[in-house]
Amino acid sequence: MVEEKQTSPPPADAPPAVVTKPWYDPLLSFFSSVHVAVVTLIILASISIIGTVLQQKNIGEVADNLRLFQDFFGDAGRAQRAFDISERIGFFHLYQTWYFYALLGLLSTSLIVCSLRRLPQTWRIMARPKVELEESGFKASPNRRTLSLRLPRAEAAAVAAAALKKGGFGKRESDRDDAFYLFGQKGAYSRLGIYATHFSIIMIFVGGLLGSVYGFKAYMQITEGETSDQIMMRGDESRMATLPFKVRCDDFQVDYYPGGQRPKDFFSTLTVIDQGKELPAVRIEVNTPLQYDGIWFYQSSFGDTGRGLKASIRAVDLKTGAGHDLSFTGSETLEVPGTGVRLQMQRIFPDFAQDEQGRPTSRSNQAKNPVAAVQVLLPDGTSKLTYLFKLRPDLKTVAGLPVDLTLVDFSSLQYTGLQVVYDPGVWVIWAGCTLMVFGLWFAFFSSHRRVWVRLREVGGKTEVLLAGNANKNRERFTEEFERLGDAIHAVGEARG
Amino acid sequence: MNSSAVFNVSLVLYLVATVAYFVYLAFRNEKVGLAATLVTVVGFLVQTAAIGLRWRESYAMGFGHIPLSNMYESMVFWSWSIILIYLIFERVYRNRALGVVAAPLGFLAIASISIAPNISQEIEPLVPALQSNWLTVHVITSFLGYAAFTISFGVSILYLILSAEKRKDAFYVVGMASLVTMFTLFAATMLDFLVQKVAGVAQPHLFAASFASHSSGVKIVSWIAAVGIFALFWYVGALYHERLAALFPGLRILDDLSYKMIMVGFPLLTLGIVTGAAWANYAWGTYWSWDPKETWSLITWLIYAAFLHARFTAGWRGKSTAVLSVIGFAAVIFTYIGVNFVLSGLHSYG
Repeated sequence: MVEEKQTSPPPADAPPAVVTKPWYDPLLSFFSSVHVAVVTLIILASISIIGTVLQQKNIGEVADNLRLFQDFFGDAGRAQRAFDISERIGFFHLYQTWYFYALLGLLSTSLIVCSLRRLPQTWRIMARPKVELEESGFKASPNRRTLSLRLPRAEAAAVAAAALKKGGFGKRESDRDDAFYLFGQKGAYSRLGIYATHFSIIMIFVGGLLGSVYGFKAYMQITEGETSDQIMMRGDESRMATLPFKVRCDDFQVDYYPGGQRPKDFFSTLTVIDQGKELPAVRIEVNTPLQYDGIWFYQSSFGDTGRGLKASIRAVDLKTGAGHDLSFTGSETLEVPGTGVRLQMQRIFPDFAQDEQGRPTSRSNQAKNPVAAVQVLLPDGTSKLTYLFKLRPDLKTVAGLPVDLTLVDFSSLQYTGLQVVYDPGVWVIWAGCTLMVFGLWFAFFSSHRRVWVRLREVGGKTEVLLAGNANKNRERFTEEFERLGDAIHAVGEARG
Repeated sequence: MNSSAVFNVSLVLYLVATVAYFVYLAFRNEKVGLAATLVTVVGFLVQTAAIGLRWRESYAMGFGHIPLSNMYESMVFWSWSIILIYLIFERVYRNRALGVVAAPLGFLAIASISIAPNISQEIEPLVPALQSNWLTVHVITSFLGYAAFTISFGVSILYLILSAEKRKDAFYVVGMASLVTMFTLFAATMLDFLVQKVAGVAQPHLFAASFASHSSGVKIVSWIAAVGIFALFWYVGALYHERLAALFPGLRILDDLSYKMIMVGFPLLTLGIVTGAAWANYAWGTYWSWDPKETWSLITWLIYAAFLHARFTAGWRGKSTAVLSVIGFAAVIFTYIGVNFVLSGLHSYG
């Protein structure tokens, strides 16, 4: 904190002050010490590093840490021991451990105690400035100037007061028998910037605490056309909860970049149904959430359910060259017109792969590599099983069929994955962040500038002593101070 | 003309400006100083135009996003920010002394990313989460902050080197080590570039021609060379200490400039973190998730907070705060680049 001591030595004949300090004074001194604050900051910074090197619960795979230790120690036994110890002392959920919270608590205490201890003095400097300039203060001032004006004292005072007013300094005055005093200041609030910044950090902590105590984070999946109020609490995958209202997914869509598999954007059209009453549908996408009743829904993922499969197969009669599109919605049997060939859909694999025994299987419900297994029933009563690859239409698993078959389209019902969040502390966080940015701005880029003037009649003229200081950006202030002196001098000369 | 060619023009101009600022400091010739500023301003305008051009190119390709989305684009923007912060500083404080630090840093940032092998200069489409106006605000504020810290770091190195009385002074060693590290990293990147472009041998990764070579012989030679460069700089620097010190502004001015830059960088970094949190909250509903990049930006913030308290309240000056500025910058570099190479997380780059 930027502070200048404004102490004057006690009069020599005053009795030595006896002050009994309260018992908790050493504690206060400890917490308000800047060294404690700096050390706390450094410790917090250092300990945070651990959590960026080791995978943390709910973010990464904790099991990966064992591999990391193995790479590091090159010995499975020691790696396991290091893993166990790290787990016990909370290195895999470092930012939720008691000692991390204790450090944040120490930092908060330090912030609060130090601010409360210094605020009264800052307030005195701002609100009750010393108006009268003393000889010693003048000599100690970093900016000072003496002018001699051929004007009576009252007139010279008016000139100085006008110059201060023009410079934007709020002024106070004191009229004594031997001298007239003027004091002007501006930017005093800049001294509060640092308190605002410190307070904002406490606000952010409080906001975070509110969110973690009263809020929740969860995930929900809704299939197109379906309605749900079930959410899965995050961090506790097995625990389901019920929302006080229902959400229906009317539609889900993905846009891809031209020519690629890369999704450009994905959208869900959601309708909130609260106690049987439907609200207008809202289309959400990544970076555009839906909010209802304080609960936010974020578009986070999507996928195919593997239900409601639809496949479209193009069959070309090799004799006539005539093509036919056949649509399958289940395991029905359809005839290719004019050929006597019938196709029976056996199974659709959205994400085709082969398992260890070489049997066809689907790795997921996502349409990454759709393959249709089709039984081709020939007019002579025989049948052949063929696999149709959507991504490789050239690949034929069976030769010599009278029809050429390709899987042209494949779809299944999609689900939308939503992040569901309720966080009552988030507004406290944003208020804190805003306050911090403004606080820093005032603390760094505005300065408290003060000017003292003493006017005294000396042999028919008025002697003007000017002194001034600023708590920041002092070079700039020196220029301003010189301009102020020049202005008083110029007006005084012109009138005198 | 394509944007990469325009970037190269600004690269050359920053190199010319670097030389001009050195000449200005050596002879204290105001005309040379003015010329240095003019060249820097022109280089900056050219670079701005190149960024605009790249932006337009991205629209022509059908993606249409501000060029702040991968390592290459961010390094270019870093360079741009360093020059911008410096030019504003020069104008406000009417002091050209920092040009000798800012111009070469601006040059190094684009030069190293332009020549580094395996850094894609392609314009890539954005994944859905990155398509947000928050991206622009978040990246711009963060990088302006990084840029201010970079200049402070450069000045602090100068301070540590120039303030030493003896070559065995630990602070002098730290300063020289930082300078030589930067120099060596750039030389190693240059070597990769030469081996790939001139000798025509493809380089699979960064420093493949030196420190990260598959041949242990090359590795050992590289390390010996690095230590040799350090020894040379360390010895010669102390030998010509007086003459070097006469070249640069006084120590008190350097100390003050370094701290002023941190005063500019700190609120910008704060804004960068806050806008990042706001964006994360808008995209995922979580303003803070202890992702390694987030945590490292917080670590950086804590170090500079410690710097400010040490300087303001505890009254530290000179060498000790200069060391804190160097440590802070190491954290910036780790946040920006290191996290992506060493750790895993949400950010595709800085």
